[in-house]
Amino acid sequence: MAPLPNMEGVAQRLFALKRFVLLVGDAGAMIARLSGSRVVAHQFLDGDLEDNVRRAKLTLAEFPKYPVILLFDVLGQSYRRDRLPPVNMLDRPKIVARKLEALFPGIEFKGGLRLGPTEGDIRGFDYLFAAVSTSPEIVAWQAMLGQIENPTSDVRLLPVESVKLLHRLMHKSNGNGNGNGARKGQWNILISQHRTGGFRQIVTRGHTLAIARMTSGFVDIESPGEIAALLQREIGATIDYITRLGFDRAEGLNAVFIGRSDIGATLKNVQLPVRSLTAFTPAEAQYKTGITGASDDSGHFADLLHAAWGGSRFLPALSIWPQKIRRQRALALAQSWGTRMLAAASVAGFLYGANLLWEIRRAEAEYSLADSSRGALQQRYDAEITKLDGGTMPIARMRDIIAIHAQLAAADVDLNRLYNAIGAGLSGNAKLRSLDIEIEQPVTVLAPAPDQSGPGGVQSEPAPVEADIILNLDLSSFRDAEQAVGEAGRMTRALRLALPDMQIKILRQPLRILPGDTLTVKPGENVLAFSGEDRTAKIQLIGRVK
Amino acid sequence: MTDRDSAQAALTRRFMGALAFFALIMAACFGYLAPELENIRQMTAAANDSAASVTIQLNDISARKVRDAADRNLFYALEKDGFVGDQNRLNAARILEKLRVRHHISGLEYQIDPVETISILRQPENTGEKMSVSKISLGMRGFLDRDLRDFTAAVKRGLPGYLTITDIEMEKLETPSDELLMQIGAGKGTELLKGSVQFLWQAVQINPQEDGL
Repeated sequence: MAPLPNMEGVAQRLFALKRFVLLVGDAGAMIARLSGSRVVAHQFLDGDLEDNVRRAKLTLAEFPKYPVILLFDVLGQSYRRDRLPPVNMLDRPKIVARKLEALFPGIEFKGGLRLGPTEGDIRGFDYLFAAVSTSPEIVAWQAMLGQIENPTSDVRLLPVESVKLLHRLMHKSNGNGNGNGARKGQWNILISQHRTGGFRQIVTRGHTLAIARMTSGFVDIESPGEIAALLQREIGATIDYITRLGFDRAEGLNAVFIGRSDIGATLKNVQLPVRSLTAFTPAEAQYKTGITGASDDSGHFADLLHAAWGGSRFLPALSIWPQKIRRQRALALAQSWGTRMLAAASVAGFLYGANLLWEIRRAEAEYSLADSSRGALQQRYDAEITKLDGGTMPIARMRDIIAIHAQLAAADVDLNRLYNAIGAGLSGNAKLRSLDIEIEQPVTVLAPAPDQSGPGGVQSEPAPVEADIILNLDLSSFRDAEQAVGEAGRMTRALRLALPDMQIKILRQPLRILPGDTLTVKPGENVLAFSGEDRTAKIQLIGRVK
Repeated sequence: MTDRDSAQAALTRRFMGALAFFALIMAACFGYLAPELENIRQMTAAANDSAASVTIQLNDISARKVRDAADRNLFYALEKDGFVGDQNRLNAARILEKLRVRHHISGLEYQIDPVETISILRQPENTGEKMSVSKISLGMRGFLDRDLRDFTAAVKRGLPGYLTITDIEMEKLETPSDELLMQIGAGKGTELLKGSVQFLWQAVQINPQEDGL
């Protein structure tokens, strides 16, 4: 899996928080002003205690708003590794505080660092508990914190905070750029030369602090060879000590040295009881760790590097500040940052509001334009409607009258079609004596109009037109009655073909042969000779003519 | 109160002030300005929709104007034909006489009955038009049945208003003899047919019928 980027370092560079770091050692103190992970200014305080406190106050007073981080690198540090039972998150601070009180009664600067779950069958979590014993120097510096205007940000321990520094340097020196911890179970040692103390040894096992030792009293020795010999013995003693903690001499110890270059070179030549040794000057080490300005004038001491590393962390590895004061500080910080965030959000909200106002003005203008456009269109529409409905007579009434006329026209019968049908049916021997046509006109009505814009109340289908037609045929040219009767029948059939929608029947035959007639023949009378009778036929046509 | 306590109190006051200011701005933005903007945008959208609707109606009006113009022309044509307005009986008498001569009708008698007004209603509004209806009965005599038929058709066409034929009778008076044919040949016309026609003379009233016509 690809390593995560160093988010804390990114945040440091991004925000560049400004703060003071006060490093307190046994042989003096050092105050550094940081901007993010960059050392802007520093000052070694190596006089007597009273003078150091006074000078520190003056330096801090130059920037009274900058918070101060107190970083202890004194001999009076106590560490205990212990196990706590598994408890929920809410109860954990109380349990830790109780444990601290039991381990370090009466000591103000103390804290606990959770290392991880306990190995083995026993459930719980391993903790590293640490404290700084009260001494006149500690009391003096603590008193100073209450006298200055600068807020106190945190109180930390240099060996605990610099564990990650060791791991970063180990990985950088191995060519691995992620700088995130060492192999689990791997023993490492950081030896750094301090002006405020002596030679600080930080031994880690995996990711956690194993022991921290301070070797002072090298002030009078300048020879690199002598210093190397002394360090060889000190490291041997350290190895003896950590062997009791489980260190396997066969596995070896990886060492990193930060200090004078000639000492580093000499250490490489002597047979140090370590598996590997990497020596850096403070300037080289700061380059490896991404810190700038952490090299003092001499270029020998790693105080600035440790101070910059331990003081520039957002979150400490272990804070030994009293919990109550830490909460107050957290509240103050939350309020301070909350105020800034709220101010920023208010500015953003104000800009958003201004944008909304501008949008409202624009929307109002758009609305005004749209409304006036709509009004103008509505006026035009009303004018058109008025024009449409104007005139001598409403158009709807005109349409009604047109519809009435259309119905009358639809009911009109084409008489020429009738005349032609009758004329075509007549033979040369039959003459039309009379023609009587009665036409029954349908009632004219107006259909409901669906809307004003429609074509008016015209009925969709015209009503049928019925007619009753009587034809009187003169058949006097026939001498034979049977032929006259045949002619009437033929005429009837011809009309049926021409006018299929009509019912056609013969009302009267030249002879009284119809079912309703009374046929009377006297003796000697030849009825078929067709004499003395009215030789006519009457045909009736009833039905739809349109 | 120590300096640190007063500084902490000031920090708290600043925080509360910033919180109040932020809340005020948020309330102004999301409680008033944003809803107001949304409201105006909705009004604008409604106005635009309304304008689009009116535009569509205007387009409909253009089509309706075309239809109306066609209907008006048709109406004016009917008005010109006498279908709209009063029935002018004097004018009808003139037309009948003129047509009688034109169509060789030797004998013409006619009767125009009094005007009846009927209502042509539309349901369910129960509104409609009033129509003047007069029954015209024509009695005519002539030489050819075609003359009678043409005369009937001409009357139907020529009289103002709309005439609907309800009854036609045509009867041959006599069969032409040789003597009669000689008279016809000498130009002395005679009557071979008689006929009667009944019309319904109809016109729509747009005003009350005036007296004296």
